[in-house]
Amino acid sequence: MVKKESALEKELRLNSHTKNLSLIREEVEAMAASCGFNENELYQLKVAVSEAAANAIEHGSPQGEQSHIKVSIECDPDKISIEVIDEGVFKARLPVTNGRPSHRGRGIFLMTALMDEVNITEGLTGTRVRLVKVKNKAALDVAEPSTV
Amino acid sequence: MDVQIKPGDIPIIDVGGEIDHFAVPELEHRVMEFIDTGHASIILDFSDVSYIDSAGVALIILSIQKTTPLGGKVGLIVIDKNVLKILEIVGITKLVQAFALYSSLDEALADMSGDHSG
Repeated sequence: MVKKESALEKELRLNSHTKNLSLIREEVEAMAASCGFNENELYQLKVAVSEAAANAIEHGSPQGEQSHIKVSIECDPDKISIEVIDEGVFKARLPVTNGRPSHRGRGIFLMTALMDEVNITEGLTGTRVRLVKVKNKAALDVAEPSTV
Repeated sequence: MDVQIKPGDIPIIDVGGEIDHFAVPELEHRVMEFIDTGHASIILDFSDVSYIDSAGVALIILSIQKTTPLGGKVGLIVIDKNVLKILEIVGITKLVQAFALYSSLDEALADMSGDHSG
């Protein structure tokens, strides 16, 4: 499951199942805590990575539970970068229903609200979501809550 | 996630732990059982919930959408500041017409039992 590990980076490869979300959150929390992120930031990281992973599991796994998702975590002195890589195509999962974000739209919205950078890259073999959180930045730059 | 059900005119669904994409299908099944059998109002007691994600938010919204046509209300009890922050970010705390946020079960019961919408 853990493919690569050091004090500053870790890589997980997991079966594509939502039961693994709590494990992913625990791993990200432990790594980010050891890299000096505060309690608020840890929570925001957990939510964002869990949303990215849930998205990968539910929409980026053509073989269902036999597919895999990969989570890479890398600490720098001033930030943490997390990549969630799946085996599916991203564009089919940008849902808007009646002008409102749906369930999945909310997950993407949460990621962008909680992280300093969210990059989504679609490749031939899968989709890569890259999340970056800068350390000790003022909590939540979201000025106004969005609509549901 | 732990779920305890307290049936009554206004059923209380008492949840503890983490509400994520893995946990929500079971929780949704149990919540919808009450609404589909005619309970217009329900209390979601998330006092002991430490984590919620977009699937949990979707469940709250679905509950509101289902109870509103019945003339009822969803009472949501949240204490954890991080969970509250997520609900604020997605704007759910603005849905004051069909939804009430409480900080304790006593407060929820006192308010919701008085409006006869159960």
